[in-house]
Amino acid sequence: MPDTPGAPLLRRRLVTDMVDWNMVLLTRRELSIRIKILHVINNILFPSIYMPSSSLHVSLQPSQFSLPACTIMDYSTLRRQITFMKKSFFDQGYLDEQFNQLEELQDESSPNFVEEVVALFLKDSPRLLTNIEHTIGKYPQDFHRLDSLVHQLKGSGSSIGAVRMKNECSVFKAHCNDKNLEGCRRSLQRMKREHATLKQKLESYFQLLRQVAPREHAVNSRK
Amino acid sequence: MDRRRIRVLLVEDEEIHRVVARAVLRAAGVEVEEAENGAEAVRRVRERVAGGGGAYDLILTDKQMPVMDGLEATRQIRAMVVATPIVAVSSDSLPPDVQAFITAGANDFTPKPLTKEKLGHILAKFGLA
Repeated sequence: MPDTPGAPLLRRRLVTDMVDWNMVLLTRRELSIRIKILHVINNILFPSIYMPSSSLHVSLQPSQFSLPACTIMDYSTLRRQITFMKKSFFDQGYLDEQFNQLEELQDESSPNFVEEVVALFLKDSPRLLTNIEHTIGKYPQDFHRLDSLVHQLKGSGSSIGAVRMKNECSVFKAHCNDKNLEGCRRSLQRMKREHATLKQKLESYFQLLRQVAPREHAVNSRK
Repeated sequence: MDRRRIRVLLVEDEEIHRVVARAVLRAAGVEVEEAENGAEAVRRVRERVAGGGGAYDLILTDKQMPVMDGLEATRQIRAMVVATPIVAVSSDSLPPDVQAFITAGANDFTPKPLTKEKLGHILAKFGLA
């Protein structure tokens, strides 16, 4: 059984973070064995974490299980995944600084603020995309209405920092200005692809976040 | 002596923008009232003028809204001889859009979305910080 990445750090954390202080009295060898057993349990109990597909769903709530050590190892892995995922959104240009602004506005009084704003975007945007598609198909062409719809979509996207969506909306608007219907059509196809990718990434991100949230509440309540 | 809280009227029809702006304003310790279009904004300002409850310290308004847009609301508020600073917060941020708001009587303009930094500048500019 190979050692898990970050296991040495994890062992130090197990000593300091563990609620069950009896674990402190174990030898390094005993700790090492327990870590290996817990890793196996993790794989069995939380297999969905290791699945990269968008059909990710967690049917088990970790807080139902009284295995604090298991919870902490899982937490550390999840936290790393969340950090990595978020960084990739920025590096790949999906999100910009506005997303950080939203996170800064999240606090105890609004603990799910970012997810709520993203949910509003994901509620508005499919409707707008459908309306845009429908309006493109109409004759005579209504570029004024198209511009108005894409304006709303652009604003909505920029609220969450969805920079690629925002940029594609600007391209679409330019085509509207030029009364270039074919340009609008092509731009819409790109917007739909961008939207689908962004939606999948954001949904995966929040699913991961929700998995650490019960544990963070549990840790905080023990302080 | 207790400084009373700054009162801001937020004029915005779309929920996502209201949610974000409301959070930014509250984080700055400001009291927020909201109007979903220009007509409602004009009505609220008129009520304050008539009721003697004290004017808003600041009005933040979007441009495109149903019933009455931000430009017309700005004109009507100015017609009431209300000197409250009006700042347009809009995604249409080309020079002609900005100029249209200034001509209508707005004091300043900032592109959406509203951020902590932008609000800080606005509050400082109008002596509300």
